[in-house]
Amino acid sequence: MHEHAERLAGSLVTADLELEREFEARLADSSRLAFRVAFSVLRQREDAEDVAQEAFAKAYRSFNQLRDRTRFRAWLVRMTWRMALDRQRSKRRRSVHELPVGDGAVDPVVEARLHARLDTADLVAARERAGHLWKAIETLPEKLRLVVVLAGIEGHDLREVSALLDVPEGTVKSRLFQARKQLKERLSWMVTDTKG
Amino acid sequence: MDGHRHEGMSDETLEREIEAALGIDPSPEFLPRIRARIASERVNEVWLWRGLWQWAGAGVAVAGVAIIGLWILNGPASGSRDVRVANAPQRPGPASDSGMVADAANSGSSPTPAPVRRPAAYTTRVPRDRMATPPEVVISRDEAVALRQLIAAIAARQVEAVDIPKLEGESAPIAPIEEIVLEPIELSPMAGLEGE
Repeated sequence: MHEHAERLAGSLVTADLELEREFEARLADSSRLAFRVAFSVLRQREDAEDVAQEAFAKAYRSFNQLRDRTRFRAWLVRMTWRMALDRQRSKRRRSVHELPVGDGAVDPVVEARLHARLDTADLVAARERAGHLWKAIETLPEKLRLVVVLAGIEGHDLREVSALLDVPEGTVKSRLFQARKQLKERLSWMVTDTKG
Repeated sequence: MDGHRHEGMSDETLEREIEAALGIDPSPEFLPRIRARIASERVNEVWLWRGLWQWAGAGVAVAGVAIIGLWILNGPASGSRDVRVANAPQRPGPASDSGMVADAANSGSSPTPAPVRRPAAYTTRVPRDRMATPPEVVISRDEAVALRQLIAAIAARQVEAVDIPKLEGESAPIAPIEEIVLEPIELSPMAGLEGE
């Protein structure tokens, strides 16, 4: 009886440890993805990190309830996306005094990187381009927007995006086509960077 | 704008622009922060379980105290509550004196035996819920113990029933009280006080 109880306790501890290890592996694998998804909505590093962190905490609480662990990334992406949208809405309601997101605001780290490569004129142009691009992306319907963002992160192809969104590849292809079309229309005036 | 030509944007250019806009990495503190958060979630989980166990323990303790209290109130002979009081040895009392017990079969005046009517208190079972109610009569602890022992003894039929007339017959006759003769009290006048 005692041996049986010990064996049961041991198996529970082992299961717990395995769960922890698996979550750690998923965390290392998907943290950047979650951050970028959140950043695509919020476009502020601190906010995006906060939201991604919250999403991971939430994922951790429900990780043992996730039947198919291979769907973790898709689950995390959708959760992060929704949480980021919620944060964006509440932020917009709360602070009308802050700099509106998308008015040419570029992440300081990106700006520093650009600054190292470009001269002042190019830097201004790059900032302007990024601002307009974000504005155009923001005007897209939510479904198209998510497809564009996911396709633009970590070089995801159609199959990967369809797996992340749990929709058929054909649907992803169609949405991506629509999204690109609308973006090109909105940015048609913009620079194609064909100097000289 | 900025010396660049405004022309249609190709898919590749757009993709490049989007990837550049989304190619942002989280800060180096991002992963450690998530790990710390997950660790705090674990601690919270442990505390939650500990709290649940504490509440459950407190609940069990309260229930135990309540059960013991009820048991003490009802007395240790509560198991024999269902014993009919009518089984107790009959005693001469107001029931037979007032004619409520009419044993027609013994009298032989009627061919059909008349139903024996007993006072309700002698024939009905005492419901358990009434047993749980606190006693209306306040008696001392010693008396309560003695009463319980008596009831238990009656239930176990350990009390020897003896007729009162027999007792009266066996007891010695009370000696007549002699007349008390009081001698008359004589009152003598008081001697005069000195100086009067």
